[in-house]
Amino acid sequence: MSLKVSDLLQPMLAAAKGSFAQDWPAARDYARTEMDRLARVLVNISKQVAEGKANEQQARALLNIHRLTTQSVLLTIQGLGIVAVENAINAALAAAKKAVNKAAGIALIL
Amino acid sequence: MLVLRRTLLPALLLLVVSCGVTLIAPYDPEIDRGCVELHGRMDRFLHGLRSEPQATFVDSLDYYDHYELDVRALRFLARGHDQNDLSVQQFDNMLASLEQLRLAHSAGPLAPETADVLRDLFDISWSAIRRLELAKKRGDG
Repeated sequence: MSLKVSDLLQPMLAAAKGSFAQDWPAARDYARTEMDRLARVLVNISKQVAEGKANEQQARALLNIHRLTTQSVLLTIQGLGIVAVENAINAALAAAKKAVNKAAGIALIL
Repeated sequence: MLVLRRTLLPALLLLVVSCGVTLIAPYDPEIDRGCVELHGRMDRFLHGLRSEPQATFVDSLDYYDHYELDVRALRFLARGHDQNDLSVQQFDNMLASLEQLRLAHSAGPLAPETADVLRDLFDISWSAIRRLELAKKRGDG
């Protein structure tokens, strides 16, 4: 079996790129949608305070919940990124497995 | 050293290529179901407050206590998985949000508009937690 680095690199890169191309739009769309919602809620909170519908303690609580909610959204975006990286690495490894087995002529890696 | 390079390294490489990598915890259907249930309960509770703004904090004490216990139960499930820090942190945030809601409610009846804002915030929070959990179903980004 004569396997060169370039035999593996090309299919691995293509597989990783394809995987990211699938995962990235979903993460981007989620981030965009939720950031928009958070911005609207913040506007509503300031309206509540300006119109006297929430007292000071309630306004502070609303802002704290907004901050915690934003953190959770950012954690999800971070997680989607990690999943995307995992998927890309595994796609690249699957492509490498295919290339190695093809060069070997047998299912060397199961 | 040469023997090591010629035998162990290729074997390790083959092992990595055949096994793949895991960077985040697996999907947990119990956590998923729990998120859906607790989201629904909070939504109904806040919708109820909207309709009855005169409902006092004292009337809702049991609700808050039970809700906290159920969020803690999900946090416990999340901690049972390796590489699940992000989700555990999200449950910590949810518990902190619940505490803030308790404080807001104890400060006086919540105006319908305030209840609406809170519904949105808890909806976004639970959606975030569930979205991350669903992404752990391998292949879903």
